[in-house]
Amino acid sequence: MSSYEQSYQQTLQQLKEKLIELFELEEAELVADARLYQDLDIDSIDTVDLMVELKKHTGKDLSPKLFKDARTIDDVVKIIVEI
Amino acid sequence: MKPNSKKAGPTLSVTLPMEVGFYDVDSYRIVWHGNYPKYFEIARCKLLSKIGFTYADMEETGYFYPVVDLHTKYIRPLRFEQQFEITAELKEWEHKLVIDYLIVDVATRDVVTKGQTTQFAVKMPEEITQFDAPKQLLDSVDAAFKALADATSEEKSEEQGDA
Repeated sequence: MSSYEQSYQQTLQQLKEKLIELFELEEAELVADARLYQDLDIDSIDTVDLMVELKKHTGKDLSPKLFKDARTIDDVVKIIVEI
Repeated sequence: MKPNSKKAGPTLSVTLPMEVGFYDVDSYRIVWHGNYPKYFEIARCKLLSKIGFTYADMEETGYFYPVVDLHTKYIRPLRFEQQFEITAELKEWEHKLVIDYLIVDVATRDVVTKGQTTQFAVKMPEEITQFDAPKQLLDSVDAAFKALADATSEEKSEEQGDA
């Protein structure tokens, strides 16, 4: 597994854990192409809680600008990995 | 309602005396439930003034701070001309701005209403929601807590001086 793939999987796992913890979502719903707003009902207010938690766990500077066009779980994970 | 940033010890709050106006009561002759957010707003503006970071200051630094969540617990009714006090207390500020409200009857000290609002910073004019409070707010809150601590220690030393 490449190091990119490794950190992708690691970040995906962190994101899933946070989504389950914060919004009581089922793991089965959390597929890579699940859309946060339409499929998972995560609104912009929930997003702030999610990002605050992810910042703490990844230690990365997650600026809101980076996520402007993020729609799916895969989008969010890629952005975090590529910072 | 989970306070995250609540610090043990001093709290930043304001308490204002108010009276129910004729224009605020409904057909049941009690304050219409939709008017409470206005009372919260009045108290919130005073609290923000005390912190030294008003809506005008927010805008000057490039942010709007819209209310994005609101809870209200209507425990007892308020009636025309009733005297009450509203307290607004800062609960969280590092990411979201969370303020708790408490309305008590002046005569009986009964708790009438409990409420909470959540706001967050939106960068203007791009309208981008921020995950962290702007530095200006953090600095203002720190300064307000420091002023509070200084005032408290002065009071204590005065009391000791009197004894």
